[in-house]
Amino acid sequence: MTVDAALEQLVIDGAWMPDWDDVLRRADVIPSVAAALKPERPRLTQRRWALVVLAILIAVSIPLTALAVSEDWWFVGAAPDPAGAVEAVESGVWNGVPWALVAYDSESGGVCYGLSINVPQATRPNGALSCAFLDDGGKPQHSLSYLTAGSADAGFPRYAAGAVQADAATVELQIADGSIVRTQTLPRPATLHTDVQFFVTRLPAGTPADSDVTTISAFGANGQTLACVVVEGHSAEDACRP
Amino acid sequence: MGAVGASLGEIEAVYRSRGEAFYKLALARTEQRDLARDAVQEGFARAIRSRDSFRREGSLEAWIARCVINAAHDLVARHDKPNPDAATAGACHARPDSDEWVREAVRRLPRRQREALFLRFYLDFDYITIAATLGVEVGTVSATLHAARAALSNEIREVPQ
Repeated sequence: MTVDAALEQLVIDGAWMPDWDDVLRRADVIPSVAAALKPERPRLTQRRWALVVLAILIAVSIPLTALAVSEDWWFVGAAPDPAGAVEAVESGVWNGVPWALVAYDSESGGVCYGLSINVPQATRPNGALSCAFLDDGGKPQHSLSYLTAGSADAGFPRYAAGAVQADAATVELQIADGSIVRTQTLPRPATLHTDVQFFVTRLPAGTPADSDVTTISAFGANGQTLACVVVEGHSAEDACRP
Repeated sequence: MGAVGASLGEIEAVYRSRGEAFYKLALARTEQRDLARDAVQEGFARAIRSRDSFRREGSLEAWIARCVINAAHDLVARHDKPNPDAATAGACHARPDSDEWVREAVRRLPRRQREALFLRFYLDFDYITIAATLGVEVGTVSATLHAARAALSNEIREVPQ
């Protein structure tokens, strides 16, 4: 046996599973992230939130008529009103920028979700939001809602987030270059009445914004396909697998 | 005066690109997967907490490696794992080709030799970075690595085939 083989033998059973959020929790960064994401009072006359991308990518369109301000979040006034509290589903830090995946039951009867991010130079948190009615209705494309966004200027990576029916365990995103990103679903906050799961994942660096994700699929615990959507702008060749 | 301190993004970039190598370093040091994972997580957390003190006189990876090694050392001590720095009685019952035999051989190395060897092998550090991590002169790294390899090679060569 060589020295190199001996050193390899010492670590042969090591399976590395990275968890950056755990590092941040240990460093007490994530609690301060939550505090940093707490929005200020809205200044509705200043809507130069350059990073705000409102994505309404849903199976059933939502009327954007209910605009009364009942919460202080950056998206209030531009999306369906919350029927209850806006809750954090998950939080973390990407490229040094704190973010939180938030969700709420909307007064229009659906669920809204999005990433609130806190870019250091920005005057207040901003991000992307989407709202959906998830009703499979026998059509899998109706049981998954998603958004993709990102901000290269702010150093924030492109990401995908979404809501999917409650029994989904994993979500798989097919990237245009052929690679696949998989992520586990996240349970809804206890106060959220809409029975859904959520997902959020950063996308591989370097993929162009207009062609990164082609299809998104959700799978149950046994691997069965529960939902599948072809991302707008992509052809039938990218269709969801059976 | 140049800027000091490391950003959260810089540390995250090291974690994402080099986390597995740091894990192997910690696994070789702690000999337990759970402790190794804890050492990496805690080492990076320590790096974040003290990131303002990073002087940029050496590489960020070297500085984080020091944090991970220290965390691994603390965890081993806390969990009453047999201290690899202490003299060992030898693995009397270990099979000569077993993991335990190899571990015993590595444990018998002086701490500095072992850490230099790990930094070179698992993190692929050059001599300058190893010196910065261990706080020694660059000129001593080559001799330290040579001694470590010679000692380990001798142990392995003694294995009956």
